[in-house]
Amino acid sequence: MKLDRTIRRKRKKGIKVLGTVIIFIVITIVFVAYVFPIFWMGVTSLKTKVQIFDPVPKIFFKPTMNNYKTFIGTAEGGEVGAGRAGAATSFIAAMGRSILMTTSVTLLSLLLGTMAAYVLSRYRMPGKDDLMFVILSTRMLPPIVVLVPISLLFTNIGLKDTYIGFLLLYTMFNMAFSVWIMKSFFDDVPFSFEEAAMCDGYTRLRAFLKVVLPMVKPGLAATAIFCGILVWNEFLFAIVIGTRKWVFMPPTIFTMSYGAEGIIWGVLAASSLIYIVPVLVFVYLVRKNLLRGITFGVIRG
Amino acid sequence: MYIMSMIRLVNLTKKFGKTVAVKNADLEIEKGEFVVFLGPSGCGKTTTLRCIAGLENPEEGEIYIDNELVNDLPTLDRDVGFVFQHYALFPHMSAYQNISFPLRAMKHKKSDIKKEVMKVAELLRIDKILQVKPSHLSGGDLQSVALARALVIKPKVFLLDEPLSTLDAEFREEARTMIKRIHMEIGSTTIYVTHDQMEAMAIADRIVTMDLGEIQQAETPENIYHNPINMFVANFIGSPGMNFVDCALEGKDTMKLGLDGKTLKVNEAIAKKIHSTGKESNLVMGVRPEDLDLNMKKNEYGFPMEVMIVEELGPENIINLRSGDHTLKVLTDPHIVPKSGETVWVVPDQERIRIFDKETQVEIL
Amino acid sequence: MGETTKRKKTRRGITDKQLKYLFLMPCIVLLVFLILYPLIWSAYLSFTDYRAVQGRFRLFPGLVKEKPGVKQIKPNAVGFKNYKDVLRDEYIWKHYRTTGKFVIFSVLVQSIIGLGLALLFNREFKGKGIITTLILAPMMLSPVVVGMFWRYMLEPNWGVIDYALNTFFGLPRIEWLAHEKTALFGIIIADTWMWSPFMFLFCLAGVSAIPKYLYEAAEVNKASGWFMFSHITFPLMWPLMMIAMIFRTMDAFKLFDIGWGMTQGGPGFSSQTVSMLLYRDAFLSSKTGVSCAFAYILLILIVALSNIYIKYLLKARAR
Repeated sequence: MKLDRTIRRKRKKGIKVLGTVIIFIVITIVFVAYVFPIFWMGVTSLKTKVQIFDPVPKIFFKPTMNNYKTFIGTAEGGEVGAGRAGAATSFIAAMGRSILMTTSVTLLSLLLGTMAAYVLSRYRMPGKDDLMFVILSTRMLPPIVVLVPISLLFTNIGLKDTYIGFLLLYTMFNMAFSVWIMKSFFDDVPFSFEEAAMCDGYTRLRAFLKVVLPMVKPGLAATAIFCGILVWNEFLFAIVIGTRKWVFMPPTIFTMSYGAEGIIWGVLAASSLIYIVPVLVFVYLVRKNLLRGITFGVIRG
Repeated sequence: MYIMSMIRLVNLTKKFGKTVAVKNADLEIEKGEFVVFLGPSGCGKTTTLRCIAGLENPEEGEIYIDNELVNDLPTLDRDVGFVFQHYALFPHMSAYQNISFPLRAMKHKKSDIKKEVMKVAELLRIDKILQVKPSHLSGGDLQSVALARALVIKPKVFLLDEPLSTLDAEFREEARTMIKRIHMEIGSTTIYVTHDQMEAMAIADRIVTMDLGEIQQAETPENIYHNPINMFVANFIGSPGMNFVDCALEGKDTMKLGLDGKTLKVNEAIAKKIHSTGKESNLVMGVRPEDLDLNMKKNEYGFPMEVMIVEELGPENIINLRSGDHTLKVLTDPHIVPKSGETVWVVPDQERIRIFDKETQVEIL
Repeated sequence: MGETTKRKKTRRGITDKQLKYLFLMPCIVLLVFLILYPLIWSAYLSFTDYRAVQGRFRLFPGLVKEKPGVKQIKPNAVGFKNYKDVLRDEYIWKHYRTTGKFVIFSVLVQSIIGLGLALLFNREFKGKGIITTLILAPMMLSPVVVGMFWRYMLEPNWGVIDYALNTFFGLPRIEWLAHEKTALFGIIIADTWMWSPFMFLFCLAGVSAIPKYLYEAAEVNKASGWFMFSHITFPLMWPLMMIAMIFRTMDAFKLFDIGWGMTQGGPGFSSQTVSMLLYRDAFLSSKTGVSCAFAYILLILIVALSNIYIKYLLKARAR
């Protein structure tokens, strides 16, 4: 024991500095490891075909905007995949559809989810726990399981490849998350606020809109982020249900990056990069709420 | 040279950024002493305690535990037991696991561990609740578990950071007596931090009063009470606190008081002492409420004041007096009940008058 | 709770009860329409030999107008044949094994990395906020794209990973996605890059919730290094870490996008998960009836597993 003490005593002084340096190095390595692929994607998007297939990957090279021109559709001799069979599509159009669908679904999920969550938070009712369970379990389903019958259903009803069809489908799958997070936030707001408001003459509805809702803004932000990202990046439903008209960006990137000889990496990189930018910007804007939302929503769930 | 002290602080200074929490502290604590660090919030008492434990690293100065310089010694190698203000018990462990924690960390044998834990648990009378987790324990039990955990390693030095502050008032007296009893039974050297001067007076062998990072006076409770070294100490100790009145010596034996020009006759000893320091004005007179008598008749060795409120406490009364903007408190026997608005003469016990420089030292005994 | 017993009706407002139904209905309608109904229909189909290419059929004929020129058929009932075929199919079982392998490996690796990162980041340093936010970036990408791009990076001839391994560490260039044995690991690498930040977040939340004074108490009580970690840090952060692991496991089981983008299940079917196979059978081969049976078996499996998970979750919360 005595020997340990003297060793520890001597070490205490020097080890502090060394430890800090090592930690600094490791953090840097970690940071690079996670950011590098995105950085590399950016680099790749500026390369010509020849540069891309160079066995010695270079960071410094003569950049070209050709891939981006292909994205917009103005490349000279630029190579691009055929896209979905029979579907005339372009990146820009697909991007537009993605933006539209994402915003619509996010708003609708927020609306329906918040409403349902409020009721589940405030009211007693028979079978409430079961209902919660059913709603939450939709998240556990592998989407493919539901996709098979829904695909048939939509075809029969005429919802396949339609705006409404996608809107309903994506909203449904966002409900679990939306309800879950919003309910946690509502549970945190004591009912006394609504009581006070109603004593002042507010109706239940107005109390909800004017008093409670503003207090759960972080929850709304977190939900919006998750629902938005989910729809923005969704692939499977998009390729199954969106056959001709409603082709979104992820399937478009996928199909249009396949050229005659394999994947056209430059185009893939450029289109992917452009597609990430809105997400990164959005996340940056709400970054303070993000951490809270992720952990908080799940802890309380 | 053989040094007897168990704990020694030499010129200890601890800063937090620009703030100096502890300034040039010098202190020696003997083996087996029960020392109380006393002072208001932010005076540096907890910081000093933590420096001794090794939870803070001082900027300057040395700390010796049992004649060993421990500045560079990490906390876990110092032979101290520490009780945190809010106990800091591990919430996911039972009482037994909490108490046995240091022994397990030191890799003692399981059978030894059980023996030691049971010994301490019986001493603190918590042997029946050892399987319970902290979240289900009462305040008193929590404190006992915290004490047990600190004591199970039989430390040379026992440090407690305001251990009673989280207890309900009715349990505090009992708890502090228990702590003193344990200290005496184990024969440890104990440092106890508190802001409650009554607590300190009750159990300390010596009180170390601190203010703004500096040690003011480190002596026995009696000394501190009767011979406070400065106005801070005089004011802090005692309840109700000492009365202070501005004064100046006039002539051979008269003090002019800052109570609208009233005067007080003082005896020779006091006058001579003041005279010898050369400073005869800008003084403050301090007298404790229990050292003041009330007279109905005019008395040269007293001064008149108006009675405001009489608080009858049972064993004694507190008479609140007023003169202009100044107030004074007098502690009397319960049968003295002057009427509100009456004028009475306040006569201080000359032996007990303290004189301070307007903000530093005592002069007269 | 929240329910007022008086049915107070104000002049212009709606009653409590009306509000309750108004708010809850859309959600329930969606649920019934898009989950319940398809599941029932799918159950029906699983007992037939229906193949979507044969033609359409109406579950409730006459309910919706039938398009002219579209072939209407009535599917044949085949009893439990589909289920038997699926359960006996070694090909399908191989896929379950592949999926299981993927889940175990990826969740384990991601958990360890997540834990390590959380311990690393559990201190103050300059730029902590920005770096932490940026590390979340991988989770924000479309998994298909991630899969596709990692394919580029893992290519032996022009990929940056092999180049780095070769030049800096002298390792041979590995053909990740060309070999059956390593293809799945390629996917695991990409998935780990994408999702270990998720584990990291949760572990960090768990670790940073531990109050500093507990560490001080441990230090004062002779704990250091490994003992401190195993007795203080880990037990107190475990509940959150476990929740994250459960989430990751459930999600990993569903793997489709990243794998499809990277290998489409290849080479052969060595990196094909259950979801990918189901997709192929249902939509590329149009084996609709069989797929429904397949999907149902998968569903039952997931529900069973989820129940176990939920029980764990509730236990963890109770602590």
